[in-house]
Amino acid sequence: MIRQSIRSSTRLLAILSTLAVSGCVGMWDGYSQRHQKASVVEYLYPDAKDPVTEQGVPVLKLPMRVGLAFVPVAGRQDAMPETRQAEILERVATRFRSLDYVKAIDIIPSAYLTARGGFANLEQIRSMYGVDTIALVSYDQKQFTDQGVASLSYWTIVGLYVVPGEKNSTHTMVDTVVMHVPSRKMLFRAPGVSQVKGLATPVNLSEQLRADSEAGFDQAVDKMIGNLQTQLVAFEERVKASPEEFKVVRTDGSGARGGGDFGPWVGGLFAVLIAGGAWWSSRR
Amino acid sequence: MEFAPLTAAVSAPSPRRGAESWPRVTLACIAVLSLVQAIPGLGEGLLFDRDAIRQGEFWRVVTAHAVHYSWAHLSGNLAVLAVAGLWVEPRGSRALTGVLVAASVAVGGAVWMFEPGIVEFAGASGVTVAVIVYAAGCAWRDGGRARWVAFAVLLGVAAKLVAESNGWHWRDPTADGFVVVASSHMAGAVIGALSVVASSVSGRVLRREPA
Repeated sequence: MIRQSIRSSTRLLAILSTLAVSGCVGMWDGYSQRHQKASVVEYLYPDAKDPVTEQGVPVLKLPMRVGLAFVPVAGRQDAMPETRQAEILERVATRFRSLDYVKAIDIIPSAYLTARGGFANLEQIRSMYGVDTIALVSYDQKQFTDQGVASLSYWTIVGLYVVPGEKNSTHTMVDTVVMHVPSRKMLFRAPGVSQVKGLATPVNLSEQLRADSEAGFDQAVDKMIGNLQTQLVAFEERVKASPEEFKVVRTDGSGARGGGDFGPWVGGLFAVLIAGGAWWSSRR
Repeated sequence: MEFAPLTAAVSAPSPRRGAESWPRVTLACIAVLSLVQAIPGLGEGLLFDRDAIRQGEFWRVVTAHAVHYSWAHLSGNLAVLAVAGLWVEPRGSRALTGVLVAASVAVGGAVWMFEPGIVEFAGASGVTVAVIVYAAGCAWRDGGRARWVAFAVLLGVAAKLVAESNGWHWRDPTADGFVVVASSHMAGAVIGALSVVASSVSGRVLRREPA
């Protein structure tokens, strides 16, 4: 009876030890990586074999309408949620709206853009919305999860729930590229990067990763918006300093360059009228 | 020298105190405008640049009228300014100087206040309109044939202002990199008209003084 009891205990211990060791292996094998991205290069130049078409001189018709869109992703499962995209686009749009040379901002729904659509897709958008300039927002986020020493506590089962032994690292880049569609030239870009580090228990790991992901995007977008302001100022300076690189055309009569001008014909007419009139009135 | 018949003709009906036989202010204007155009880079420091004015370069509000974007731009303005100046200067160089200074400030101020979309501005036409209106107003007072000339000139200015206010341009506004700012001409016309009123009032005062 006693022997049978000892054998049972030994078997139970062996089973528990096996479970513990296998669990341990499972835990120490717990490195993971998540990646979500929408690449502007893949969207604009989907086929690397195609020769890059020659760029022209951008003719900027001011005040301009600017289209604003997220770069579409081929596999929708990794795409950023639409609501999140809308929030970010609205923040970028607010920055553009403050510019006196921007007449209107058109936020283009992602459904209108085709993944890997290239400039052909942008030409469609241009025709549909009447915009020559389109700002494309892209992103690239990688999340890494490693297990620290604290994960040893997972052996206690309770540790799985209370000890944050999962070390998360979230690297995010959000980038706004402003393209002039007719000339196929990039006017400027404004990137924003962030890095978020955090800890999680295995039980709330996915929840924490989502929170880190959102925090990463928040911080990257903040930096991108700040950078956007800097790049816009730099772009204005470039346009002024390099008239051969950018041609600016005013379409509403309230352009940046104004002048007081009689013009040669009207000026000549007034000159003749005044000189002739003065001579005629002086005749006795 | 070749302007002498014109200046003499206009000064004859109504000579004023301080009238000059030599139209020095008009000739100075011609010289300054031509020099600013001829010397490369000089105009950069003088034209109306909204950002630079915000940073304290206030002289640009006034000096912008001496700057032109091209010789073609200058030629039309200079032709009218020269003839109008020669027409009115025999009445007094100081009066013409006053009109030029007041118009420079008012036109630049009008562009600053009423044309926030204009970042750069150059050209003497606003000031020239002021001189034309002042000259025509003075000629109107003289009566006789000069009144007909004044009427025709004022009619021409009014037609120009109305046409420009309704968006009419005699050239493609986007062709040579700038748009004509109609409000600068309007401001010039107002200053010209006010100068006529001011000179009439001061003339009456001067006539009363000896009595």
